Order: sequence, then C-alpha cells, then structure tokens
Amino acid sequence: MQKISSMLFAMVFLVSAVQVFAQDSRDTSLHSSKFKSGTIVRSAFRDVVKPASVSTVSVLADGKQVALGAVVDANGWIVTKASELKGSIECRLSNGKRVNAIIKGSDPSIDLALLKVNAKGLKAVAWATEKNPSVGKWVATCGSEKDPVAVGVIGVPRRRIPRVPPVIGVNIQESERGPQIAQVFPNTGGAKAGLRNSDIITHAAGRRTETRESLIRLLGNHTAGDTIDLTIQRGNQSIKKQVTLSRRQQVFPDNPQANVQNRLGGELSNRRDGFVAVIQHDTVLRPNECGGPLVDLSGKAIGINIARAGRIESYALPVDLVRAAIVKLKP
Amino acid sequence: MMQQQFTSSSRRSFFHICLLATALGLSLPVSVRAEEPMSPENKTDLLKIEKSVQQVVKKVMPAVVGVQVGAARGSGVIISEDGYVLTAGHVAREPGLDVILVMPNGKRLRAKTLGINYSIDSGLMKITEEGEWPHVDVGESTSLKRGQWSVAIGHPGGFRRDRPPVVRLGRIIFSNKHVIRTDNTLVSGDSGGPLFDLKGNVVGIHSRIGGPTTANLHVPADHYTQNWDRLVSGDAWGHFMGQPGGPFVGVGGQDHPSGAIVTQVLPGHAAEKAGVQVGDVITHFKGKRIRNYRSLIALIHDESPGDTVILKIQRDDKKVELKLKLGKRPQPNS
Repeated sequence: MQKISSMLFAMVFLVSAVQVFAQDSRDTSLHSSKFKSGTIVRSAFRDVVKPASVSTVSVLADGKQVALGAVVDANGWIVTKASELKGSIECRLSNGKRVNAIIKGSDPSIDLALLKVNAKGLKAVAWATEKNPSVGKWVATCGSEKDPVAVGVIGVPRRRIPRVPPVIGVNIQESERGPQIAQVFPNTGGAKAGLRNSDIITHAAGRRTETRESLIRLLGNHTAGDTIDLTIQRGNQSIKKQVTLSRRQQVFPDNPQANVQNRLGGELSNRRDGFVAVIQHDTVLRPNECGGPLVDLSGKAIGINIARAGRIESYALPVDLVRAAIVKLKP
Repeated sequence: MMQQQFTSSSRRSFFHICLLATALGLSLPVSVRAEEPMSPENKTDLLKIEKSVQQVVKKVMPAVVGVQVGAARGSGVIISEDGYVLTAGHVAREPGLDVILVMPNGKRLRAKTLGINYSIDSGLMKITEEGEWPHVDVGESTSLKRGQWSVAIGHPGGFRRDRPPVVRLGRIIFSNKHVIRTDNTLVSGDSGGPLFDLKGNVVGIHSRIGGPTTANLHVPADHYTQNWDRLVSGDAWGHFMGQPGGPFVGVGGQDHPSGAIVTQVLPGHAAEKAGVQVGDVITHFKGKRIRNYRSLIALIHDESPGDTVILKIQRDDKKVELKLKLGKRPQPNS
C-alpha cells in the first residue's frame, strides 16, 4: 500500500514539475520540429523512404488503423502484425484506395500475418540483405506520407526475446468441477471478456481443462496479446468467451515502478515478447504503427516493425525471418 | 516518502522518476547559446551523423557498466584507468557502500561508493580491484549547444546477460549548469549511465525522466569535474528536493513584484519560530535577491537543515531582517 501511494505522489509531482519546466525553458529549448524524430529531421529522410513508402499500407480493423503493412508481392500480398487483426480487415494502399483484405495465414511464433488484397500491379518492398544490421545505424519507419512516421537508430544487435507465459487476469482455485475463478482483476483480458467469480473454466483454446494445473500449462503455449477461446460453466449454462491474454507483469507486477516508467510517453503493443529474433531500435512508435517496413539509409527494408515494447524500445523482425515466414505462409 | 519509494522499489531496477525543481535550475539564469548546429537535410548529412555515432559506440562501449548497490540496479561509466566510475546520486545512495559492477562482457568487479551530491543527483564510485580499466574521457558540459547530437548508453531495466548496453540517439534540447534535457529516451535502470557527445566524451549522466519520451534529464558532466575532490573524498551533501529530512522553512507563498509574498505560515516550523508573518514579502534570502516564489524555494534547497540564514522582509512599509534556522521537512503524514 505504501509503495503504491508513494508512487502516486511521485507521479503528481512529476506532472506539475514538467509543466513548470516546459514553461521556463520554452524560449531556450530546441524547437520540437528539430527533435530527433521531429518534422525537420524526418524530412531529411524523404528520398531515403520514397521507394519503401509506396510499398507501405495502413491496415484497418473495423475501419480503424490497427497496424501498418508491407506489400511483399505485386499481386496483393501484404505482411503485417498478426495479433492486432480483429474484426473486418481492410488495407489503405499508398494510392489512398481502400480494399478488403483476407488473412491467408499467420505465424504466431513471430506474430506475423500474411494478407491478400484484390489488387494488381502493387510495388513489393525491396529487402536488404543484412540479417544483423549494426548498432547506431539510422532506421526509418515508413508510412503513407512522403516523410517517415518516425526515425531512430538501432540500439542492440539481433537477439531473441523470450516469451513470458501470459495470464487471464483471474485468481483460480481448484474445485470438484474444475478450475474455478475466485477473483477477477480489473483491466485484464479476463475482466474485459466478462468473466465472473465462480465461473468454471472447462475448455481453453479448444482443449479440456480439468485442473488449474492443466489450464496454466495450456496458457504457457500462448503469448500475451493472443486471443483464445474459453468455455465456462456458469450455473447450468455453458458459455463461450474470447479472452485476450494479459501480461503477467501487468497483473502481478514485481516492479511497479519500472512498469509505470515503461508506459510514460505512450502505449505499448499488447503482444511484445516471445520472438525468435528481433532488432531493437529506439524509434518511438505507436502500437498501430507496427507491422510495416523499417528501412536503413539504403532505403531497403531491414525488417518489419513488430512491437512497441517499452519507453526506450521498438522491435523489428529481421529480414530473413520475415522472408522465411512469407514462403511458409503463401499457398 | 520518496526515499521509501527508492528502497522499496529497488528490488530490481531503480530510477528516480521525479523532476526536481532545484535540479532544473528553474529560477536561475539560463545560459543562452546562439549557435545551433544545422539539422540534417539529406542522406549525406544523415550518413555523416551515422558514421560518428557508430564510431562513438565502438569507442565507448567497453567503459559502460551495470551497477548493483544492494538490490538496486543502475548504470555507470568508467572514466579513469585506475577505475573511477561516474553514476547518479540516487544509484550510489550513500558513501562507502559495496558495489558490484558488471562489464559489457558480463565480468563482475567489486567497487565502493564515494561522494554524492543529492541535490544535483551526482555520484562517484571506485573499482577496488587491481587492474587497468577501459575508460572514456569526460567532456565539458558548459560548451554543449542545443541541437547537438548525443548518444545515451545504459542498462534499461538493469543488466541483462543476453543484451549489451543499449544505445539511443537524441539531441540536446536544453542545457544549463544544473541539468541537460535530451530526447535520448531513458527508463528505469539507465540511471547513472553516460550521455556522450559525438566525440565520445561523457557530457552527462542519466538521472530522471518526465512524461513525454522527449523529457530525459541528465546531470551535467561539469558537476563531477568541478566537485571532483569532494566526490573523491567520499563527502555526501545536498538533498533530494521535497524529501523528508531536507531543509524546511514552513511557508506557503506566491510571486510578488518585490519577491515572494507569504500566504501561509505553518505552525511550529522554522518560519513561525523566526517571526515570519502572513503578508510579509521576502525580498532577500541569505543576501540573495528573490525574484519570485520559486527562486525562494530553490535557494532554500541549496541549504541544509540547521543552517541559519538572514531573511530580508518588506512588512507593510517597514524593512525587517529576521534570522531563520532551517528545520527538517517532516514526513508527509506527520
């Protein structure tokens, strides 16, 4: 309790101090257009991103942008971030045209989906050959405008991001009839799906869950941000629910301060761990700006942005992983 | 209260989140620098920056360390062959503590904390093992120009075996003798890590963050240089502003054309004991002219509890001088 209240105190102090600071230093501060990812600096990338921007699409779910995407084949094949795709999917092409998209397949191990749109003569993105671009290299995240969405540099050599088993966001106790919900934590996948105390979880992701243990084991095959089917027994009723799994850290934080700080400055992707390999860069992206091409100064794509992972970090899937996934997913 | 937060949140990583008004030098004259480096205009300009950044990273990386003081995790940088290490004051915590440093290759070294300036958040450590250590040069932070490019390195989230120190690029947004602000993004665990100019000299040490990703604050390197002997001697001074135990006067106030007008006098505290009254306009504190309420607060925080200062006061049409002995800021709930 002490910890939480003292943190709130700090946050309040922080906000007011920032305002004072901004006011006092307005005249002597660098103009925001000249910040690393400000309009002036981004415009220096205009020629660099020109070709790859033509290959970039906005991905819409039920009419709202949820991701960017990269055209990988002139006949309407597009890759994007899989876990953001819910509802009816469309793509806004670089010429402004909106077209329906079908999810042709996805690779949950890297959160990449392959979409097909009914369009011909698109321009496929040009891939770089480098699998592990060096630290300090400029990277630009292409969008549909003439300047990139944001820019940054590579901060860490290619590495694996281990998967942290996700949670539903409930306390579960063993009961004679199976794993039974004893508590639902607010703002979790479980709460949003409408789970209630005393619900018995009988099936998860199509598998029978007879014990608490078997449910937890099954969750271990998934990643936070994944949506799975649950069947619950509520009284005499059997109800089907879709639950988006939450991050363990969010529900049961072992370091609340780090959690708060990682969110300072913007929202993070739901699915942001469990990748075979990523290139970490310092570009500040919104979660719905992931899924599209990340280019270096050659203008070629060194990867596909796959997660906004923290205050200081965004992840891109390296080019070899993306290309291998496309080969695997394309019928 | 904040100090409790430090200890309780220090189980893993550790970063002082609060923007402290004294450290920002809110009311103090700002050194305005006219020349601002050009922003890059095209690929050629960008390539030049990229080349410099990569050279800096290569040169300085071996000297960037992870820091473990008790359960707390932060960062640091080695600046001499015999193993002096710069870090943040809130990472070092107090003089004479045992420290484990982690080199980028994972090698662990023993070190001890030396001096600390809590107000500015600077701290010094020394490697206690025999050896010749990779190190970097300390630059001059006074010569920093806004718009200059800067490279931040550190261990966000604390040292991790599978990840070398993390590099971030940014520009100097604002800089004076108390603080440097950049858009090199920082987070918990980066505290104490180095900020470099494009020559590879340390110009700042990561200290704290604000809400936007462009509010990242660093201790200017000159603070270490100018207070070197004191830091080496293991002295600890200053205080985290607003912390219990820090200097406390016990007045509330507002800006006034002649200084700061007192709107509230807390019973039982230093101001009341000294005879300060509601409606007094404080014009001078320890001989220094007060320009507004914030400048008064900043000056109070340059003192220590127990120090005695002279206040010059305008009371109606009289000038009054009062002797005030600073008290200690109480716990928030007491």
